[in-house]
Amino acid sequence: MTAAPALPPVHMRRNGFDPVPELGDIRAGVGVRSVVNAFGMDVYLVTRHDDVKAMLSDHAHFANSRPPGFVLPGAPAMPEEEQVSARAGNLLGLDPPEHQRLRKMLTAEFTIRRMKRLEPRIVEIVTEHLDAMEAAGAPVDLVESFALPIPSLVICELLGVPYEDRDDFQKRSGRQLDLSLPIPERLEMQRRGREYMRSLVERARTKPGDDILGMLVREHGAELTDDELVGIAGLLLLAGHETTSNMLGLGTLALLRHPDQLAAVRDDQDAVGPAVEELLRWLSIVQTSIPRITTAEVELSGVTIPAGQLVFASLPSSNRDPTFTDAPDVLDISRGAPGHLAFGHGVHHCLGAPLARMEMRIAWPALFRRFPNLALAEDFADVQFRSFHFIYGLRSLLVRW
Amino acid sequence: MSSSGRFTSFTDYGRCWLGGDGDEPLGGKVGMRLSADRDDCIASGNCVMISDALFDQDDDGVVVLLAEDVPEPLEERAREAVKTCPASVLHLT
Repeated sequence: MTAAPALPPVHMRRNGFDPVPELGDIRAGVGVRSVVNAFGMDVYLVTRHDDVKAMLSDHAHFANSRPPGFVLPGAPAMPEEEQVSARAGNLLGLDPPEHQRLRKMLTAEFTIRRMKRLEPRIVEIVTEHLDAMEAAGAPVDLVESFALPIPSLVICELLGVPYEDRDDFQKRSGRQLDLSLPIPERLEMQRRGREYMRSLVERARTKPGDDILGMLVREHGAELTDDELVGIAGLLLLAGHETTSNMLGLGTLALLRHPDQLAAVRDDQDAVGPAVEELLRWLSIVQTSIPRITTAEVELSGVTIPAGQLVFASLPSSNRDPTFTDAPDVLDISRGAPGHLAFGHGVHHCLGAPLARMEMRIAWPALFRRFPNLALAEDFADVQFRSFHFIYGLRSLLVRW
Repeated sequence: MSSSGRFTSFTDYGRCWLGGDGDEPLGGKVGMRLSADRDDCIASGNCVMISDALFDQDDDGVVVLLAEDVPEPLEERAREAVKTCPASVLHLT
């Protein structure tokens, strides 16, 4: 059960940017269908925009927490105590009201006003990386020199994680999300990640810094266990660099393939915001929401899902549903795509969405202005996509200018 | 180059989805009424992105209504915000 199939499951399969036609067939046909996930488990796949929204809004029937005794096939047995410790603080594994208790401690850090204060520093970080690219000279791997380091450095500074440690945690998080790897290996990455974060939490407990970890210790230190702090910080670190970095890499490639739209992002300040939203929609790099478990028998699109079933919401499919937007398979940065579900929906809607948006809104125009003749330095056919990752993206992207 | 002078910064989220509405007057004929369940707000900032004339966030990110009576020119924005609020806490009556 631990060996991954040769092809990723249907909800992760793509032709370049696009979800495979089979996914659209499910959406146009039954809407909700039983499929086999990357671990060989039978799960229900929800594909329509309205159903995905309804499901993600209904945390009472579609729970993020797992019932006692729930194990992934192939996962090594773990003592209950260790399981509890590993789950603590993971907001994506909690339901209200417990989820809200933790989320509320963090929301002040991601308000739009707070983002405005961060803006100059992010502009500076982007500029430094563009300078380094220019100094190195073409060709460069855009993923390695731009898409990955910018969000990594931003989240490190915000959270209070030493950026020097990036090689280790970037490698760990990349492997943790690679669903083709055996589950024991991925769990081992998770364990090491927690161990690393525990050392940072211990440091913050004694000397809280001027960062999110320090804020959590100062303002909520008495009500949070070390396990919870480790869980919260680990999730923010993972989510903070794995998501935006893949958007930056894949989105740059998408714009290089649509030169008129790239020129608009470069030359028209007003085009940038809507372009970021449309790229979020069109690329939908988060392949599915965190799987939910039904707490009772439910019905979606006339399909009955029994209680206790794993349910996956396909974000790419919901964002390319023709009932949601016209000509959904066309990238059109002028549509702006209000209401897309790339950040999810419901109480678990991406906490870092304002940060991700700001990073993209700064990084893309800056990149295209610095290198107005940016072009692929490899054949499009040779570009390596991350086809087995929970978050879609590129392994590398060679560019010249 | 920039087609209007209203863009002030990369975090000018009011322009994100539908273009800005900062210049829309808040006066004028009033149509519908907005309300918000602030206790259940998840601070996504979604509504502020749609209309920073109708919505703001407090220090914790919780929605603040800038106008309960929606001026007619902003009715469509209000409807969009209600429809797309991730936590479904906005209502229009």
